Amino acid sequence: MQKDKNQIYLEGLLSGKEKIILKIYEKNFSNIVSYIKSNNGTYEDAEEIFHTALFQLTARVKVRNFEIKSSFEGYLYVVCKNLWMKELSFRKKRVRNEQILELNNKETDNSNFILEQERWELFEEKIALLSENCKKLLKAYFKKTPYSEIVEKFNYASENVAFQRVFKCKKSLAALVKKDTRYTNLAK
Amino acid sequence: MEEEIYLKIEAYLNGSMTADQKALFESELKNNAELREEVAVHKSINLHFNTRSWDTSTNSFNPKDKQALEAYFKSDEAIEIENKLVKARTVFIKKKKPNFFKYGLVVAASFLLLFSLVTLYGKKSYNELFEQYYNENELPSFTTRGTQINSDFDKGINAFKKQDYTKTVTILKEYLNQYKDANPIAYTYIGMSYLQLNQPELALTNFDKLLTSESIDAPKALWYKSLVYLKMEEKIKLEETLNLVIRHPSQYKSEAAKKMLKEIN
Repeated sequence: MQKDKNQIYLEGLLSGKEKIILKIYEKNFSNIVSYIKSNNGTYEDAEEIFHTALFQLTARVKVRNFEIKSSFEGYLYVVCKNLWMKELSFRKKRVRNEQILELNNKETDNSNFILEQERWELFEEKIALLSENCKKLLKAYFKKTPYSEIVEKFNYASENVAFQRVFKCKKSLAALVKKDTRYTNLAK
Repeated sequence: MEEEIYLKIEAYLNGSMTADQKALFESELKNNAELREEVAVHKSINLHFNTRSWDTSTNSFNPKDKQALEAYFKSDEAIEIENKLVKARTVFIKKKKPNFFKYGLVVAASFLLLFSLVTLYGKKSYNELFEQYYNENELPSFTTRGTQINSDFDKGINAFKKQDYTKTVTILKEYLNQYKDANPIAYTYIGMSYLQLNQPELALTNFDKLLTSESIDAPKALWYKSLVYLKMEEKIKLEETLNLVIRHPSQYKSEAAKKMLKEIN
């Protein structure tokens, strides 16, 4: 059922059927507007992000033989969110003038993002394979929770034990990622 | 990979090596493909968990993949699809704009009415303030009107919109338990449902879960907690929480919080 619906949307997008595209807008656009407006963006930003996400999706299907495994709505939401994160990161760097920003053409930007999104999905898939404890531990570690707090929260004997566990979890994740040919193929 | 190498990689990636250590490590990198691979994968892991640092310019991809995609984007086929997408977008936006205008008028009229009431009757009760500041439409949502419900999350939101708060709590709790990637926004709706069901303590617990989540919407939990304290008429806690809203770097609702603080004093 879900697959059929995804298929209808994808085929509609690829053939440019206005009725289907409008349906996708009707069903999803307001959520993206809410998300972007509550994260320092405007309605116009949401228009741009939503359009880019749909256009990139057609390329993923055409060039990368991509299939949506979850719901179409869920997929679109995550992609728009990631696109917006990237845009915010770019704008922040531009304002702070932190580094010389490489100005790419639209085709390069779209292609880079698609590959980055694929890598993001791959990492999410591998994180899901870790133990619950590892997932929680890595989350805490990357949230910059001090080791002293990790010790307390996870009932470890010492900060050294906490460090060892983080090290092992990251090592497991790295091994899972490296073992997947998609990762090797994505990288140079 | 040995722990010692891992420590070096982390130090290299987070920039905590001295200039000499960095130079030495980079020369090792040049000659050691395995080490290069480890550095690359750990860099990707770090970037992945730091969701706010999306930056494709720091990553390299297989040139063949990039070329294939770029060639597609330049093709007539892609240009035609993009033109059709642009056309559909224009049709959609044109259709929507009158609604925004209409809603704008309604909002403006509501403000005028509220202003008149305040002027006429002076200080508002906590209940009136709650009605003024609580806006269901501002809650993040995944569904739109009149559409078919497809995901468990959507079902929860739909129950909330139908004001079936008990059902909302049941569905969204199940959703959070069931899915690893459950969106922490669900805590917002569970919290608001508990608030509507007059169970403010449970509302606060759920907003705390949102607050400590990885969600980009986490800072909003402070505002939601303010609304709970407002409804509970707990002035001291309300003031404390409003001050947290005002000071929070996200600036979410900071102006509204300042206004509310003035109104309760």
